[in-house]
Amino acid sequence: MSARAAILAAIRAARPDGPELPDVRAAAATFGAPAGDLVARFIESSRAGGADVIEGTRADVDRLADAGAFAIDGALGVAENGAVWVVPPDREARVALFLSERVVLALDRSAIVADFHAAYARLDVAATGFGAFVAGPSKTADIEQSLVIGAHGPKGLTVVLVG
Amino acid sequence: MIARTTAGMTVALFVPCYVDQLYPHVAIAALRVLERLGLHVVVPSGAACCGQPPANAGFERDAEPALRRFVETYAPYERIVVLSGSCAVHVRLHAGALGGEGERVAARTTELTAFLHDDVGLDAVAALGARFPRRVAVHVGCHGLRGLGLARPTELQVAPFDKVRALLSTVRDIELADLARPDECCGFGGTFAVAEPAVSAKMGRDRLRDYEAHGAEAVVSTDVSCLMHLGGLTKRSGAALPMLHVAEVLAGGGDA
Amino acid sequence: MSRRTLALPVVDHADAAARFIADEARTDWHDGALWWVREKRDRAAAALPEWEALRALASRIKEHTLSRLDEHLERFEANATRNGIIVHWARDAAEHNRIVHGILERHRATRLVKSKSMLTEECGLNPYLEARGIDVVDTDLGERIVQLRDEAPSHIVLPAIHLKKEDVGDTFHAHLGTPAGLADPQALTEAARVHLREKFLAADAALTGVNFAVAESGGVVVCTNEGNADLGTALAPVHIASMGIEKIVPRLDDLAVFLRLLTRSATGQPVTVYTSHVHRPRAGQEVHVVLVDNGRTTQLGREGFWRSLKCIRCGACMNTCPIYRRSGGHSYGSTVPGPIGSVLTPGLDLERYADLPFASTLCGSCTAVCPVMIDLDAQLYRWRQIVADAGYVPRAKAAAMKASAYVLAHPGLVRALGATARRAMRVLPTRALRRASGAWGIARDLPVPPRESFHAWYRAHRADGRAAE
Repeated sequence: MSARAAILAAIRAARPDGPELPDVRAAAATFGAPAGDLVARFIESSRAGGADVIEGTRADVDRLADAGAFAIDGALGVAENGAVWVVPPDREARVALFLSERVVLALDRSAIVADFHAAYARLDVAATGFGAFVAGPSKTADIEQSLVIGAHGPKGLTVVLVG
Repeated sequence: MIARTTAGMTVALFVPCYVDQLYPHVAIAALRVLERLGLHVVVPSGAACCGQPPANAGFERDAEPALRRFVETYAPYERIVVLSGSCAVHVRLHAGALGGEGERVAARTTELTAFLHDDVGLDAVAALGARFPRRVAVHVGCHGLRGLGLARPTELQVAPFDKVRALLSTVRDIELADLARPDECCGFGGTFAVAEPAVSAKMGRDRLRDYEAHGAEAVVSTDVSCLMHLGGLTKRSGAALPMLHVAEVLAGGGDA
Repeated sequence: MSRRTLALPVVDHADAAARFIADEARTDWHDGALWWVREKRDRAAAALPEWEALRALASRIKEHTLSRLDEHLERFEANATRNGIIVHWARDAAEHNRIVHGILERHRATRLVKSKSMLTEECGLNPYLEARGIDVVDTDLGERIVQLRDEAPSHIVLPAIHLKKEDVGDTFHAHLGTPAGLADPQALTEAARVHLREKFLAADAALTGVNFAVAESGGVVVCTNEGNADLGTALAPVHIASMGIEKIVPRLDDLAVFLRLLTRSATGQPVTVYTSHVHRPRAGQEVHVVLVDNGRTTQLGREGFWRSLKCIRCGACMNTCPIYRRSGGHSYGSTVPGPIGSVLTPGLDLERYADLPFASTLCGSCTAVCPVMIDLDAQLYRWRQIVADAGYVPRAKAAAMKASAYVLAHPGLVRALGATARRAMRVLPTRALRRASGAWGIARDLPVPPRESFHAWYRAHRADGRAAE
């Protein structure tokens, strides 16, 4: 018997009774919205995660790129945690997103939603082979809980809110 | 003042074996408080133990006869007030599985401070006129806290409430200390106290350090087992930090 | 009782804990570090008014998923395969290791970078591969540190929480050539960054864990703060993702619930820096997912314990456990320590891990922080009954508990023995009492014994106290 067949058979023999799946979207709709507008909340969350946030234009993006940062567009921002959905268009971009010392994300200020519920409702994360929510520069606290910005990934992340 | 809702009510009081044998003054205080509140208190002598210690140690089946004795002894009573949070939780969780009167006894069993808060009411308790002019550290035993809902545990994101602090707040001139860790376990844990003596003692010493750092002049708890453990540590170290059950504070008329 | 064929040591948590606590200053430091993480979790949870509603949703999603685990796994496999991901099934640790090695062999890969996967710890993957000539580098900073020290991680999220920066400094001095005495976390992290960059760039293959696998879309989600998982998978031509079968969630919408709970519970952050979604291999790359059972289906069939499979490996139960904080992860002798480890591990080897369910006061704090509402304290209680039934409670303790259970059911006996004990307590000198009170007396005194019990007082002072009613 293959491992697959054995495991599935074992599950069928063992599985308990359980509840129906809840309606997550309906539940999320009952959650209150926190105070403050989405852009302001996004900026606060993003900065709390160690990112620089500039309300600016494409010129700011180009300026940072010229200074050596890897520039890429973000598709969607999440106010509750400062995460930005990024889909690197090719392998080089995917590598650069993590290998570069500094990254700049260009995000349309109208493309900010309240929380992850709204983000998953808006996005089709499965539409591309790879995509990531990026919420700041890489970091670690693995040495005595001391926060160090710039672990293995980028040491700096700037979000430029355009539009 | 006699509590309007519970005046004349009969309650059966359960005094756990270690309170009966080693801390009778706590049970006497609890009895006096209940009587002064206008309750008719019965103390049956047919059961000494709810069976929790051996059950928690893995010997639930061996502990069943003790729990059965409890159920048989207390079955005739409408309200069973237990002088221990952890014993009350044990009865409520496990008596139903015995069948017979077990489920009804479980449903009618509560712990003293929960009874005073929910059934008797704060106004009646305040009218006892207790006075305790000290800053006290409040320690709600974990099983009563999380198992009976005596207060909002700090992990839970619900509206804050604290039945024990509310009761103690009716006592004149008392001051309730803020603590760094308001509901960390004291480390008694039943047989844990002797199976893991190092961790148990360390947990207790850490609680004492928290109390001392916040100027506590006494420790007040819902569970005598916690007090026995913490008191055992202070007695060994020579620290002067009185250990009192909530009932003792409520029974105090000004001679604290 | 089983006959042991392997000389694997029986875990004695109490003993290991006593040794840990002997260094009280270090214990206070370890306890304080983890309590701080618990406090960060509290602040993050308090910021979401819907926190308890999210826990209830997450619990329900997981309970549903476990009740139809076969269906969701089959759907995941079908969708992942359609996406071009190669799906493997492994009954146990050995099979998992063979599959991973097989993939590496086919690609002639000898340099593997790994991001955090407790499952691969559980399977003993590193030594298996190293014995077969594969160079395995754990790239999570905490895991790299313990790997260099040849130690196991002591916490599932914070692998090096038991180490001081000086310890890390010493390790990096020995293995990375950093200056002796350098203990600044920033500088040490920079040294690790440089060292691991070489490894990422040279790797033939990357292995990651899986935080969530989504059945409806056939993809996997990996969460990190360091970006190490993504550095590995962005560069290497082979991505192997190892996952326990319980890591499945049915829908993409479910991810929102779990992601909102996971990092807040684990570290107090609202989200990890990177939440990467892999649905398809890029051109020229292979992506493999290895679905591992290794005792999970057995746990699924245990009525009182299957809910432990809801676990999303956040570590909050460890951070809040007053015993874990004062004894350290290594004292549990298991891949996953702390409260969740004590309900998952005994099922794997009851005799070896018999002590774990007793490393607890049943205070219930773990149950209250668990983002998926696992009834941890109730499961600890239930495991204790099973351990006792199997005869794995130490004989002296078992005898004492059975004897006490008998006595406690007979009030007359309790009172007679109590009176005797009180007389002894009055008569015996302090030193003798301390010795006689055994483990209690190591650090504690006994109370001053009263002359009469409460029941004796009651009989004397309350007329209606006479005779049982």
